[in-house]
Amino acid sequence: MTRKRLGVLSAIATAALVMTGLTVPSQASTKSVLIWTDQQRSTGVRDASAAWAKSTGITVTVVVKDFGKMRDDLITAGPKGLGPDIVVGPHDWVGQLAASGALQPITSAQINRAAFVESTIKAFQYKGTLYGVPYNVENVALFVNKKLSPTAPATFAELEATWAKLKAAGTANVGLEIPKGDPYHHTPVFTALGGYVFGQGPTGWRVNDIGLYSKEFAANASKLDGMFASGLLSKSSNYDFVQWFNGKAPFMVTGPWNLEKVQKSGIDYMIAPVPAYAGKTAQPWIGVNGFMLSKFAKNKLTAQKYLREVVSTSDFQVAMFKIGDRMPAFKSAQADPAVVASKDFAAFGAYGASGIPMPNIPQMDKVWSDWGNAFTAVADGKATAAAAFKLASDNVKKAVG
Amino acid sequence: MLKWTHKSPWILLKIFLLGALNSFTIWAVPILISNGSYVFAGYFIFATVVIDYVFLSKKRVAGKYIIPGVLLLIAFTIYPALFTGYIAFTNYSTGHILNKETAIEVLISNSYQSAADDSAYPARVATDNLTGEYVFIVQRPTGEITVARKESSATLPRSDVTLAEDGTIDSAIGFKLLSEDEIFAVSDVLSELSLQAGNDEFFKLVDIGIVERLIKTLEYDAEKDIITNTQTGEIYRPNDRGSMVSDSGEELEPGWQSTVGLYNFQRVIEDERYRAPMVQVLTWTFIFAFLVVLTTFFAGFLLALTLNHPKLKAKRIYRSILIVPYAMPGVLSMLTWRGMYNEDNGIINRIIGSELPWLSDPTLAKAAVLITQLWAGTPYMFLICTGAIQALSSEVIEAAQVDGASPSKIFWKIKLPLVLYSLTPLLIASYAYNFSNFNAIFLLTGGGPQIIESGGIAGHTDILISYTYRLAFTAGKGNDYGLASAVSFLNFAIIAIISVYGFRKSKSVENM
Repeated sequence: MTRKRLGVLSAIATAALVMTGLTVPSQASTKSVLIWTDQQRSTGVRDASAAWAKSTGITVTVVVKDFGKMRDDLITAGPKGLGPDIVVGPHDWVGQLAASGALQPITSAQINRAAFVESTIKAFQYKGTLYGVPYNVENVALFVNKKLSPTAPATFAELEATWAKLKAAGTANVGLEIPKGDPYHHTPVFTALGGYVFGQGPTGWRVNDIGLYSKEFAANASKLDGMFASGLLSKSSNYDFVQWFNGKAPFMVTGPWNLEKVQKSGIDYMIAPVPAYAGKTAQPWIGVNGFMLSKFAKNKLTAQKYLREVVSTSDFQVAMFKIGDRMPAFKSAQADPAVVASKDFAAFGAYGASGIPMPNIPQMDKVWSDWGNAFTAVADGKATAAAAFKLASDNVKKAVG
Repeated sequence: MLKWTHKSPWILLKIFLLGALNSFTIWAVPILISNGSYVFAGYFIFATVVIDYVFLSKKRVAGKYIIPGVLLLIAFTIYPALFTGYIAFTNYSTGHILNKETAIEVLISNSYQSAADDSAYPARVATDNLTGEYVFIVQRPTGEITVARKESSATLPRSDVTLAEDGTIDSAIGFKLLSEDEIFAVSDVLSELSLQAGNDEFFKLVDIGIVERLIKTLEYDAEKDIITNTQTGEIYRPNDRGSMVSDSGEELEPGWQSTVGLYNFQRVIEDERYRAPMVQVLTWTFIFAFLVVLTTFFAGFLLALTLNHPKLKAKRIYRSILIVPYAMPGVLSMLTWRGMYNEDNGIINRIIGSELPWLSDPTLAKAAVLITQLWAGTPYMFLICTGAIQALSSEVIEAAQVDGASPSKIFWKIKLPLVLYSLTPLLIASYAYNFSNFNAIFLLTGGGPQIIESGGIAGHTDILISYTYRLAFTAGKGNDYGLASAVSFLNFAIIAIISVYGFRKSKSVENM
């Protein structure tokens, strides 16, 4: 009996040891960089890093992560040593990441800030510290159907006049097509009327200064009511921009993500700035994508080298431009023949220069829904713009205060 | 020798499975320990030892059935519940993820700022031949050569240094210069190394041959547990909620995770922004769970009675069709319903020719939620009622019929009480389930339309659990796990009280 028991025990021990031996211990090489990106950018990053990896002997590993989860994963996995060295993402992640201690600041010796478009560097700053290396910029602009409006409107009054004429002739259903209730796309019109989200101070966004119902916007609020009432702004539009693509709207506000669809539609178009309202510039949000260095990176030195020698180069940014269809953030990349040859991007870029980086502070998460509700309420005629935006402003003040 | 019998394959299987478990533990425990997960490592060892002991023993037959289940229950149910309870008493949220030690390290290390716009200098990493410590040998723009050490910095005479053709340092007397590969091999140490540059300034490595001259804007005094801003002189002290705060109220980010006592519960009760919607949400949660159980039970019961009628043909087909909503994945059907309620293009508005704002009007949205749950929940009630009705003894009903009871009397006085009697525990369970039926709300209305006074934190159809989700992930700045845990703690307490009370009651019914 005891001999049998012993036999069984030793068999188990042997099985255990054999199976343990089968698992090969993984050893992290220090001459490597681990990058998290979403599916869309992964091949671009991989290809554009290949030459550098070969010449330096540093392994660049690109891991595809779900875009929606990357930010939270970095916050929780980073301190446990399970995070990447670098994440690729939009600049409005920076606030939450930096506030959670997940990011390593980029000091001025690491990259030459002057080589980047200034607003893209500003976008990646949080409380005065830079937390990422920008590589491309996106913003919305005005798409003009040249058949309905041969020239781009220079002023908002001109835009309204074009709409009034087309409306009277019955050739258009809506003047300026913007997805209903979407504050992001409405931002140029909103800022032109004097509204803003957070005020800006010397070291960044002022959380206590909320301008959803600023004095200037309050004075102009009835104008927004009028735009919806006259049909200039759409009451039922969505992200398909049906009216514009059917040739029933002279103008729409959208970004480079719709460029391919526009080109395929065969409509004779041009891209222009959203015109100023009574002299007040219509500022779009600027979204900047970039490479952020994890505070808990295992290969910080190689990762810093990668940011200096790969991301901060014209070649890399032009390569990413060819894949991603967004304006590079690097000045000399913007001057590259491949980029300059694209008239559309020149137009996007020219308008983007007047834009404001989307606030990257964590409090911005709280603004979107109330702000969007205000636009919906006005479009539905349920409230005047004055009432709707005052309410949104009060709600946001309560929520972030 | 061991003899081959009919039991042998099973013994081999047992050896294989136990071996797999043991090898998994041997493999996993060192990894868990190296990640600092001591609790899990301990639990793995404990569980493996217990299982080995029980399964290698000839006796403990009952244990062989119970132990694996109990171990899994502890790991996957009891531990998460206790953990949630613990989180409710902490400030775990965006900005309070790290432990205090790491948070302060991050604060200090992030406070290094470039001393000037152009403060990057060529440098070599070296080790001191005497002490073996790492030093940076830096070439300043003035031509001066500085040796930066942990505690001090000194100027190195030019005669001690030879330069290579490209102007970089080739060798230095008394030091061993590190090659590129040697630097990479210890890059984790070197990348965080800050060495004295003199004048309260520091050098940090930017790249293999480059250092940057930096100033440190924050200084931590471990003894007094305060942080001082070296530029402004401002002093930051730890508050009892895991942050360093100055006298003027400025908070340094990141903070750290700490226990905050009843602070989260206090917020739920005292903060107007949470309390006002909380009362409304809680009321609706009770009404919602009650109405869902009530309507689905009666609909299911009536259907069961109808389909149980002896003269009805093709019962099986009807019954199979009725099971469909139950068998459909909830995620799919909720999203389908959401589409059907769409104000402009939804099939419901098109069929009844109306323009009802189903999902944006508070009352209609509540109705929509209830209608959808009626559709989704009735099949379950139908199933259990069919079972209960078929178990009714026909003698009692026949006796009532003989005594001249009307069909409605038989329904109200005999069938319903008898069915209720056997189904009460299931109805209580169903109430508890619907009390936290997250999918029913979140996938259909997302809790909306918003309660405007709540600043967008709560919606008119939010039940406690979906409100909790919103608190955790969409309210204020970032994710607030501590607050959400406190609310789910309350949620759990309410359900526990209802269930215990309900089962007590039903027991007293049974004993009658």
